[in-house]
Amino acid sequence: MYDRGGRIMSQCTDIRFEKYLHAYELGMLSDEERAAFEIHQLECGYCFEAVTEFAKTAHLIRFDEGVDQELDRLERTTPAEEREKSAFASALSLPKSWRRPAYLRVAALVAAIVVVLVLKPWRLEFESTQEIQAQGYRVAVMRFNNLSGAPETQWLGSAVAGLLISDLAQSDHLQIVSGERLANILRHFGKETTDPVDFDIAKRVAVEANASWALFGDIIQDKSEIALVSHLVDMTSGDVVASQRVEGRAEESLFALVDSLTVAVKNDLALPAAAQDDEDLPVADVTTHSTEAYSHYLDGLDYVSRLYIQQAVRSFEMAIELDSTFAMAYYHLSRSVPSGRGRELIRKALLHSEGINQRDRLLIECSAAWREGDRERAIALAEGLEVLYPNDRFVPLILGRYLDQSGDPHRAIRSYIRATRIDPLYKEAWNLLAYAYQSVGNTEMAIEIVDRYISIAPDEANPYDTKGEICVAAGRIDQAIEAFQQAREADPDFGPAAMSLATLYLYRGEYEAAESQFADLVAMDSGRTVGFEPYTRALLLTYQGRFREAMEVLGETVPTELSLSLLPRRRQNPALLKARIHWTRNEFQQAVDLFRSAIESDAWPRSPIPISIVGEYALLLAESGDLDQAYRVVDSLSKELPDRIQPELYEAITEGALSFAEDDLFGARRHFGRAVELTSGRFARFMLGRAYLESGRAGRAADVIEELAGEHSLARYLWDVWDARVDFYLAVAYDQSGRYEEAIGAYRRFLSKHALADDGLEQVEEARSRLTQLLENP
Amino acid sequence: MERIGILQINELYQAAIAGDKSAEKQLFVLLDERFHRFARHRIWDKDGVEDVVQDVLLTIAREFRQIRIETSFAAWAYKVLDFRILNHLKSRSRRQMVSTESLDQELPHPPGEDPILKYKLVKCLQKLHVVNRRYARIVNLHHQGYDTEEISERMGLSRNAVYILLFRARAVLQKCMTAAEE
Repeated sequence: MYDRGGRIMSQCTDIRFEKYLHAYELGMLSDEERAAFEIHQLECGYCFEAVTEFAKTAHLIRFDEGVDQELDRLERTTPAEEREKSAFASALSLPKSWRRPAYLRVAALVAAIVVVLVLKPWRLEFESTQEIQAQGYRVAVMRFNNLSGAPETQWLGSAVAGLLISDLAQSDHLQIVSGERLANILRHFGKETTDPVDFDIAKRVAVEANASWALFGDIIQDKSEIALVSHLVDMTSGDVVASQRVEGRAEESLFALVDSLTVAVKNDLALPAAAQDDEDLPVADVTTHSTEAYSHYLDGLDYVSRLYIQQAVRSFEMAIELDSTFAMAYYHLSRSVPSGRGRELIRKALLHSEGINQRDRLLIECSAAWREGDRERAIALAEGLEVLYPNDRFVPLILGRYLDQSGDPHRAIRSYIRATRIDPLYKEAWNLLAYAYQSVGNTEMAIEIVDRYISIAPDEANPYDTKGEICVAAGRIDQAIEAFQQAREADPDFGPAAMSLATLYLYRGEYEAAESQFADLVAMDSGRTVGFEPYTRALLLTYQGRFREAMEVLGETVPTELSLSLLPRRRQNPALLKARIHWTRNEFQQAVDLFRSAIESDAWPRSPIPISIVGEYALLLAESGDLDQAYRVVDSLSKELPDRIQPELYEAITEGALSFAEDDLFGARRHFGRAVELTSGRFARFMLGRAYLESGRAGRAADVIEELAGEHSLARYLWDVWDARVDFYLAVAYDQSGRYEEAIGAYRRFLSKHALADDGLEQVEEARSRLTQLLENP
Repeated sequence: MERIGILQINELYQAAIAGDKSAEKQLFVLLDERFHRFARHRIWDKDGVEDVVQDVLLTIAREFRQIRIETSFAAWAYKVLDFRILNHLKSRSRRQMVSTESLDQELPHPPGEDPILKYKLVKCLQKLHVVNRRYARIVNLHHQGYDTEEISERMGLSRNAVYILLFRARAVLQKCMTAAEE
């Protein structure tokens, strides 16, 4: 190699670093190694030039999909036993986290490996499914064509395929591509899952799924006889190598026919002799005894894969109604409902998991451990599952969720990436990956990932909705609005996007647009949720300072909680809205009564009382003149804190509120300052800003409130009355710190949003007066 | 950009503080080129990279004469860059902080479509695979999100061995790519 002065640079100046070269180019060095190598490049022209010359090639190896696929293909041509330090070493070399906190004893066997994990008092045995050998028998089972059925029985085709998948998956020697993955591939090819599947389509799908075998077939029904006919394609030759046919009487169980067909298919696959010892339970025992329940279950899985959660919940519920022992229906339903109900469902799944296959049973155990609070065990089980089923796309997804929720987003990202590598069309994984990148602040990557998600599901609403949420978090509101609108175009009944648009328009003061979105939501709800419609109208009026009308709309009795089926994970609280309006109007007793009933209502036991609500309540009591009661409430509620609430945060917020109420502004600043270190919640920051303002530290107040005002959280509306005042306090902070131009802007914003406010509203009057002064005395 | 001779960064620094303007110019050209590359590993947006690098070079220009650097100018200058990058990351709002982890450090900006290069690379990877089967596996594991330590464990290799394996594979690839050009 020559340097740029034409002199030969023969080698690296310090060969200790030379070995880092390619690892650096591929991004595989640790932070310390990278820093050391970069310092070295400052001194070593050889290495710097080497990296420069190879940059384009390295970039292709790292990022190009075509190169990635080639590397994949090359790896698969490597004989199994060579691929790692024996395939079984991958089972032996467990991820390092699995060795914490317990110890692991592993024995390697020739034909099968038994990995024994001892975790404190539990003893779990994982039997390896000879995963590497099973890769030679990777089978894609297509939906069967129902040749003679009426349109309303077309679901039988999916049911037969699904049952075959479950039945064949019992074998340790087979690897079966999931039905959801195949459905994604079909959609990707522009085929609906109800379109007929022929030889050519079967082969195309099998290639995409990296399957070595494809199975497709037909259901033929003739009066009292039913036949399942299938064809097995060897993907190495691309030919049909065997056909199978099983017949029975129409009134016979479909499950029995599938059992017979499974035996026939396995015979024709010419599995190793050891496969004779495979357990082969009747498929009805490992799934459900009801074909109709199974059909609803498959529908539910399909909805989940498209992130149509509401529809998925209904499907799983119908499956359970038809078969109350359907373990995996309980499991998947538990993933789609709020956590309280989810806990109950997973207990039922566990109860009925006796006869199901190992993988499903372990998934249920994983979830049960997680819900019981044993996160370590849940993560260890999930990591173990990944060792046993390295080609199962669902497992790294679940592991990623656990890691994410345990506060390890970087490992979660890696897990989600593995899931997308296994199935590049795995929408749920792309969705979670985008959020995970956003959570670590990598907005650009989050948007790139969500755009990829959109490209594989351009007609679905959820990808756009996800993009909208990511853009909101990044402060790109115009982009967010565009994305939510696209979500609604893809699916006009997609509630979350309508709610997001409504709230964004609300924050921007575009009230007509907000009203239109709320109206759509109300229409979607079709009156199912009592109190929702008046709540939305009251919210709109509140943001405009039209409190009198808001009270009329809310009426005498308001619910303490609204939970829309359209928005299962968001809860609104009309009682608190009404309470805050009373508070604003100095109607303290009414406000206190509503707060008390909200806190004492049944809603709270299902989730911990938000600490900020307790802080607010304490502040209200103090402002109403009952400081003693404020202290009593704070004290009594502190004894009921669930484990996952930080006592330090509770103390910071409640002490802050009490200090503020007692005009101890120094104390308020100290406590709320501490609270802000512990939480990103708006109440703490809002009160910190007010404490600074009231103690004359306007500059600091402006910093805090400015951040609040600039933050675009979709849940801001839950702070209704306070949120509507942020512009006012910001204006005052600017004003008092001499930032008059900015104060004018903020006053104007506040007043334009409150153009129709109630007469005599103190802050509106003050804003008008001050704005006039500022404009007259520039 | 003017070509630079064999890099002796610490010598250039010594010459620069002694008053050699040409050495000073060379020094800053060198730093500019390298710092751009290093910053791109950790900062996603191009504007951010420009801001940071310019800021660092100004700082170094301002301080390199005042501060007595006993050990290595290169290490000191790198620390200035590193510190500035960290500040840049922290000064963004919490939601715009960029991960400093090694995973996917490089900006995913395609260097421009080059189908011929890609074709050659694929052919060379196939040739490489004949003599080095583990390279594909390591890279695939990395793409799947495993870190180097986990890859080492799975492959039954030491970390050092993984790096050496990659380095040797790179040498084969480079030789093959060069031969293909000729």
